[in-house]
Amino acid sequence: MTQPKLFSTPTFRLILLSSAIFGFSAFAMYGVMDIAINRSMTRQMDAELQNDILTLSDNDGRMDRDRLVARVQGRIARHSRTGTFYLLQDEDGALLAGNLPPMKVPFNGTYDLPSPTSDPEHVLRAAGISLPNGLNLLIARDAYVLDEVADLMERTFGVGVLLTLVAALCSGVLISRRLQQRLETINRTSREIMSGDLGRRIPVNGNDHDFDELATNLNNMLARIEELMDGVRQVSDNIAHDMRTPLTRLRHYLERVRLSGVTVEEFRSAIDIALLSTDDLLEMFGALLRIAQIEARTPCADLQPLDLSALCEMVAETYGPVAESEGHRLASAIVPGLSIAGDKQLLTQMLVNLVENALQHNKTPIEVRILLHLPGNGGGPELTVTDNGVGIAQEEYANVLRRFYRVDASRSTQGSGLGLSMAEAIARYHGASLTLEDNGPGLRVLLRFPGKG
Amino acid sequence: MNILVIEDNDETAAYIASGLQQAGHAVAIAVDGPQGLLTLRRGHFDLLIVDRLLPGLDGLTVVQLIRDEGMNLPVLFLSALDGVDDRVKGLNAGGDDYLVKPFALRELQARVAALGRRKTKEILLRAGDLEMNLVTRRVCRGETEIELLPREWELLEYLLSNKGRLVTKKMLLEKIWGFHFDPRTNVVETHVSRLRQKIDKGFAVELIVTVRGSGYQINDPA
Repeated sequence: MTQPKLFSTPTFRLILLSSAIFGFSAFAMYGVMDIAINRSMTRQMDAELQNDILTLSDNDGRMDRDRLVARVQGRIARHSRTGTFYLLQDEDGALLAGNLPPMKVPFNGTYDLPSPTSDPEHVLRAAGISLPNGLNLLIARDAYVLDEVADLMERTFGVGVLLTLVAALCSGVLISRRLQQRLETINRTSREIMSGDLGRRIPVNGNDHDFDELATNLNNMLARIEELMDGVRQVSDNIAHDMRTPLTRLRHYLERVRLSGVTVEEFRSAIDIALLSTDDLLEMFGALLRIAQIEARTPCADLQPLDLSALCEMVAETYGPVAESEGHRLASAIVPGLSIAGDKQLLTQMLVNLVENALQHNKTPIEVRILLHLPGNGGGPELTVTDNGVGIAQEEYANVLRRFYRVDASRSTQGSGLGLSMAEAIARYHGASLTLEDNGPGLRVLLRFPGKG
Repeated sequence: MNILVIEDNDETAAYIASGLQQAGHAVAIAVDGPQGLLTLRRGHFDLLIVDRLLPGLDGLTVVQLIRDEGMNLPVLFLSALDGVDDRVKGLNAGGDDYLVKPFALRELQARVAALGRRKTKEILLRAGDLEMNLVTRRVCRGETEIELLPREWELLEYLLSNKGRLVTKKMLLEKIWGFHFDPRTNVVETHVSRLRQKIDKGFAVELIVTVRGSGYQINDPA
């Protein structure tokens, strides 16, 4: 992780932007407050000055001239160092008393005056009054107090805003670094997965809800992808092994006939046998393709209402004689009128696969049962195909659902090893669960269809 | 019959043509949809065999177009797609039968023969001294009345309405049981054997003939 990259992350830029907006609004607020405080303080000062001037002139202004002069001079003596200025002029503008030079100003209301110290920083705030006896009185105070308050505010605000901005930037750096660390973990895991290590997973650390949810979802997705990849790998392995064996056998057979055959009849029957084996191979490919097609469909899409009871009855009726002809028995207990959303052809094939699976994996006579009922638990119909034959060892349950897997390693029995995989794919497409159980003795295949709604 | 085959793959087209010619049909070949349409409009054909996936104009569209133009010759779809919906789509578009590649020539010949038969439905089906009345729903062989289960009835009716022609196991699985896949057990054999028990056992002439490796056929005794 490089530093420039940190400052260019979207999070950091976002925090920078929000800090800038915050800073701008703080300055705007400062401006408004500055004006408001200044005004209010000026008003207060004006009120004090006017109050003072009224006190000094005894409100009515009928005080005689000399007494007023004496009062003003007394004030000047007491207040000269506190920055208060007085000016008392007669009608002609002649100075009667005061520590300000005589001036021509309107002696009414309040206003700013330039400071007599000629310091441009210092401005006087003045209040004047024209007394009824013709005298003009003015009291002024240095307004630097106002400036000082403004300065103080400026400093306080400046420092506050600066501190806030620094804090925002620091948290920005921290947050974006943290985000980037989490993202980098995800990126690193993705790169490792892309370079072939499919088993990698994004760590979930349990204290960051959003990121943990993202990581969990990504991990689940990765698990599903790995599962599918394994499926593909397994199938290509199977094609290499399971398809090659019959092809090799066919080739050897053709070679042998080619070398030893004499009559047309011999060749003709050899071709018939070869055609049968190629048909078997083609059917295997067909079944594989069909499973792939079913798995590629969106589960539960395009399903139509279907009378499952009738479908089971049809299969039971069809396979009763077939079971008998092979020395087995087929019984059924089917609750009528149970319907689901389903694909008729696929479900027929699924049930046929399960029944044939039972019939073909048992040499000794068995009884196969097709049971369909609606359990009272709110779920959909339950379809069970059981047999009382040799069954399958429990540890093989997961394996027999895999494509091409056959319990007997010798592969002497008939079948492609695709029947149960296809049944499971069809069940999954219908949102149904397919479970294998011990029927003691024999195998029980249980299909639970989802309830309506 | 005069048959038009619309198929873009030369090898498959030649394979189909050889099979049909062997069965005594006249075959014309078109290599894409537009050419097929032109040929159909110009000539007279008794049957159309069309691949579902064609360059230019796909098979479904071709069949929809000719049905819209009022041509009612039987249509057999060929397809490498064995999706369940594919078959339904094909039949909905106006196809009469659907055959998935790869297929055996025997299968093609049997389907073509079945499609080419007269469409009028007879009330009384006969083969030798076997009589099947579709209205009274009675089957007799000579003087003996025969009781049939519903599925056996359908089987016999299908065989009889294709009298003298091969009916493949695949056709029976599709038409009688609605199985569009090859079961691994002897479903057809078992049920045909049950039917034989009822209509052939104890009679001098066996009406249902097994065509080895392909299917069955019911014949008028010579």
